[in-house]
Amino acid sequence: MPHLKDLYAQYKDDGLVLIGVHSKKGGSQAHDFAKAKGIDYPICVDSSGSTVGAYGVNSYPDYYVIDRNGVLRYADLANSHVDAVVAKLLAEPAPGATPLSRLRAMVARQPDYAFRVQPMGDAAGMDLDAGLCQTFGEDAKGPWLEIESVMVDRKKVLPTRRTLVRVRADEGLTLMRHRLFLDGKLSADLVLENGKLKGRAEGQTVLRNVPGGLSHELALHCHARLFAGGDSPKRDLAVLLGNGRISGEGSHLARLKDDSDRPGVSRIAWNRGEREASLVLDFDPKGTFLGMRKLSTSKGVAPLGITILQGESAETQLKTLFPERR
Amino acid sequence: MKFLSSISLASLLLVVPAASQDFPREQDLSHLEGLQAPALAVTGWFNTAPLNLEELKGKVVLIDFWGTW
Repeated sequence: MPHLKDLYAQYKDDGLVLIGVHSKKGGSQAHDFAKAKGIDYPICVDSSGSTVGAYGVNSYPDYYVIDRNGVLRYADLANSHVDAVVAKLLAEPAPGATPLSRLRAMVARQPDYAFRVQPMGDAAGMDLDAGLCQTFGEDAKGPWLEIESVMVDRKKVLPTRRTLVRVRADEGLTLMRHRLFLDGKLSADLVLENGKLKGRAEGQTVLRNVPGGLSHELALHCHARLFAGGDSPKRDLAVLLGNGRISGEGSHLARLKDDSDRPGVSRIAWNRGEREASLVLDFDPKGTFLGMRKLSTSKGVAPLGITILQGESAETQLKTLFPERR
Repeated sequence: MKFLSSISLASLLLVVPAASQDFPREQDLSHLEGLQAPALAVTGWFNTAPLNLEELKGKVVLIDFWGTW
């Protein structure tokens, strides 16, 4: 029983509904038992015994798992496999899922991955072309930089790649160059320059499509810096993105601000055709990625919804994001 | 400045196709599987408003048949 409470706590936000159907026998005790045991998931009583009959229950406890389409997929599943089956079925797309919602679900279930994609495109009627996330962290082997590129075409989620770059602090100032290929269609050059432990790192990433690859032209230009010093790491991440403009003078700039007592904010801005948009990424002071919020605009029109910094008007945010256009 | 001779680097697909692995059952109820789950003809809901499976589509539902006697 404690195990089920844990399972429920772990997965309820991902779409798990756990229902404890108590047998007819002893049913009057079910509520008291649930209270006494601190059970917080829904329970009910098979007061006629018909549900137990319909499901073929032959012992207690017996577990049955129903998928997102309402189909009974596992009847009287072996108890020790309940966790695995729940995880498996939660990973399946919900009916009517959009590419973005599937992408989000896919990313969210990566246990070692701190980057979650919010529904940037489908909620606001914008096509999301690409997301690029750089997450910084440090473990026993030293600092690391993880680069995630997420590509979404109008109709489908393109293969996503994750690259982990280990910053070698003990080598002094180093330069790393790394190239990404995404199914032969996209490539990325990364130049990462870093100092000693708690020093400074700079990186540059260029993603571009090969003609005939994506259905629309897409290019990203990214510039990143990592500052870490003393006991309160400072980070400054600037990301430049431009459609077809990858020469390095990118027209959009975003910055990550970080101090020791409040989450850092990183803004990624990009433009495609007539539209502009920006993303807001939250990091905690240690560089752990907390989440992504969206600010989207249409060529200077006020943002569609989300205010990203308290005390700043949308216009101020726009000026900050696109200073050269004002 | 020197170039690192080895860069610890992992590039991998995020999307891992679900393994076509099956899980053991405690009895053979295969005639029930693959069909819409039978409705819950139950009473005495606790910790929730009454639920029905039709309205829970989109969710994964784990039913725990339990007893306390």
